[in-house]
Amino acid sequence: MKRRSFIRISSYTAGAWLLSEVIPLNAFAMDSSDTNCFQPNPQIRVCEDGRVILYIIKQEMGQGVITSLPLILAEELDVDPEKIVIEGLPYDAANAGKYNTYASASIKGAYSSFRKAGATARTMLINAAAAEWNVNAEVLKTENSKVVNTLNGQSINYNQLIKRASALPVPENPVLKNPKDFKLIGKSQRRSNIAGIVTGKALYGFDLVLPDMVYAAVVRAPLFYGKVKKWDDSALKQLGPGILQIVEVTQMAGGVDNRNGVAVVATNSWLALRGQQLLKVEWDLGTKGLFDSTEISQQLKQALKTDTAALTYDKKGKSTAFTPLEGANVFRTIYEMPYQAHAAMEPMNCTASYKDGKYEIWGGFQAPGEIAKILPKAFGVATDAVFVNLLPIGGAFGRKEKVDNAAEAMQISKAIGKPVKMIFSRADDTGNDFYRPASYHQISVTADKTGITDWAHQLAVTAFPGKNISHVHHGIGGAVADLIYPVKNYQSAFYPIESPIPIGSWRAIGFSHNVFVAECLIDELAAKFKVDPVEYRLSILRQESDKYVKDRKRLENVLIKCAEAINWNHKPLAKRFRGIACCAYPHAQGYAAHAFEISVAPNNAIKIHKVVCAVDCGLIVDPEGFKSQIEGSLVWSLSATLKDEISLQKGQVQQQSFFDYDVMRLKEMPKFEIVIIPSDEAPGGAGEPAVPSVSPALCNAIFAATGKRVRKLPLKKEGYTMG
Amino acid sequence: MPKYTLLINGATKEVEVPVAMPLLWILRDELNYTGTKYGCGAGVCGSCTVLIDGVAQRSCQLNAQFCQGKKITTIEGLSADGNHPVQQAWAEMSVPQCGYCQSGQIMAATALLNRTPKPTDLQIDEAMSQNICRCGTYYRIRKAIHRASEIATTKKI
Ligand code: FES
Ligand code: FES
Repeated sequence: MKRRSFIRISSYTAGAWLLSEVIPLNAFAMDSSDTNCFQPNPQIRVCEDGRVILYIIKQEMGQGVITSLPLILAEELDVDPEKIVIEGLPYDAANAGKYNTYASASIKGAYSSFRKAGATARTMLINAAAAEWNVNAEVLKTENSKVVNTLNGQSINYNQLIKRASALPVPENPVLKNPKDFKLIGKSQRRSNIAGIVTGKALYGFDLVLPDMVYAAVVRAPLFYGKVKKWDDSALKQLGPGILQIVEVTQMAGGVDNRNGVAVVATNSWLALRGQQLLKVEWDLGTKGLFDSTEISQQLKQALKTDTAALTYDKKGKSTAFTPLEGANVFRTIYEMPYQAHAAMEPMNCTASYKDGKYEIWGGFQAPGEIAKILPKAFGVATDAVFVNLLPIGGAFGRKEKVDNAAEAMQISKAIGKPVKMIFSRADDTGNDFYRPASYHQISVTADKTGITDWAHQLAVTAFPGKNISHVHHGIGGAVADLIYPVKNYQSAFYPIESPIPIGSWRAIGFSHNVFVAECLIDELAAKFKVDPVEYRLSILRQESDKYVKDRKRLENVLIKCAEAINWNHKPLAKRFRGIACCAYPHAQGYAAHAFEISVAPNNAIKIHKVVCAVDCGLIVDPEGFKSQIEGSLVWSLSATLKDEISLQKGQVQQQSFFDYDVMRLKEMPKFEIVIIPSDEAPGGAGEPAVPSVSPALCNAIFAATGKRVRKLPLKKEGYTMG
Repeated sequence: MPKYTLLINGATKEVEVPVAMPLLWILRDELNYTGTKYGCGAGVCGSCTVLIDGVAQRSCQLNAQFCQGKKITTIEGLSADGNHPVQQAWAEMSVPQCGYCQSGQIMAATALLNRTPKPTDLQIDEAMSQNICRCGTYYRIRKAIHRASEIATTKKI
């Protein structure tokens, strides 16, 4: 039996994760209103003043975490979700990794733990009431922050039970609600920070203001390995005394990977950005990585021919060699995909304040764990000498796992001895990203209309730093997991080439290219053997396999439901054609299928008549929030499929802003239907599983319409337009 | 530096700023109206949209000189209580994801409804397609504008 002490806390927000409604300066203030609270579990406190405080450590970046997580607690605890106050766990450098938000894992990870936390508190409150009234706990129930005696209707508010409950033993295995009885989970809820957003009060890193703060923008080396030779700031004189200082920023290794540069420090953002434009910096660009995109593409192709694979896999995992498939019956095919940027609407930024050997920083970070791991080392200080205040993120998509922005702001603040907000211009953001890698795939298969015998996938990919393939580009979503279809013999091999520009996680990571390749190839095989593409997939998915593939049934099911929703078994109207593809996203326990109905004019203008997505992500906590993610996934993926590419000239990124890295617009969005598969399985992540199957479904529809295979994305570069 | 008098959300504000400083940064850095967002600074994303005499304009492309004598409305001034029909509809339809683009979306939608109280899908498409949302909230924006139009009509009755 564990003892829980009676805890007196003062609600304290120093360093806490700030809700959008909270003015950031409150970060410094202590709330002195003391109150008695009972804390049956580290994640929650139930207080005498009626508040239920929920401590969460995940970052909000648009995916609705702060709505979904309180709902789970409110459900088990039987309180009004509006009464739940969310506080971020104070940043704790030793446990910073727990704040990381990626891999669509927030809800998945929190679901059982918050349910248990709620059930624990509810059980203890019931036991407290039972003691208070001297009745058997079995006759008591809870509703709306009260314990109710079902025999006589007598009731007592939770907040009157705090003291008594605190003294009780903590149940080891509290009984959870039956999902059948859920009142909140699975019912749509409003996002709890919507009021802040629609009134403009929500504060993002870009909006932060600290007393005495100055502003900075950095002119960065146009090449990742570039160095500053000298600079000339004479043109900045015209901007007047608002330009305060010019500070050199140096590149840091060890996972920071910022660029060398020169910062313009000014009294406001605009002067800093103007100064950045006027500052003339002379660079030593070096001799490394001065490639054009066409050369990168050549290198990728060449690597497959001449290099030995850096890493090979077979069905069992890592293998020792890759054996090319030879013979007349081998079907070989290639696909190529470009670098992609994240282009979140809030450009990168960070505010830092250096004082007495310590750094305090403010910003939106997906991975505070990386801050604790990387920055103190890079700056040669103790782990607790870097303190981070996490702010809501204006779109992350993987980019905000990085800490280059923090390192820049910290260097500048140290140099000038003042708090500084360092902002990226849009061009800085587009040109200094950690990109989705460019990749070139060659797949060789032997197959017939009953199934696939051999599958050999060779993947050449731009790696960083050096030829290091970070874990996000293989393993999960890479060569092992890319193929959910049972095959007799499986092989894959990696051929990394050195990328001139940094790479990083991008929404749906390796799945974004591997699923494209696998799903287009299955479609090619179905066409070759004149089998219906849905039937072909299903018949293979249903085959016995010695390769461990989890939950193939769930994938089958989304495929079937998707086909039904697009009316697959009935012919479309004249000149309309359909394509389908599916994706298993095992580590977020998500399964999705997309189908497109399109027509293609003789001039290659594509008109999308309808898109359907069938998706199974287990139990859904917040259906509207969930659907938002599926809608967002379509918009995201269509941008990449149709329009976007990051290209290089002499190693320099060519794109600057939304005029040359264009994204989908409202009027371009096709009719879209989402079919949610009802499920009692533990909730999976919603942000990524419905990204990968969009591109292959569209490209398969293009094949159905034109007989031409799309081998390379984006479609715009291949001569297709949106009709 | 020249002085300007600006009428923002019904209040008169004096600022002393360089001639070329865009309204966006005057609002954000000088007057602390941070609801208006920077997305591109080049007039291509719409995050910085405000109303100038009721018409949607990109504040990153305007200077103080141009705005003098005109009524400037930012997201903070759209309503006293956050209950403008567009704000209500936005909440009802759960439009925002990360929320960063939404001030601009809401101001553009408000301007559309000012001149076209009952817009068709096509009119919405035309009015809203210069406002980028990277999270992909477009479907909900369309629905919410129809809903806002409904709310506005019932409110008047
Ligand atoms: S910031 Fe003004 S249009 Fe993008
Ligand atoms: S809601 Fe995130 S950019 Fe629009």
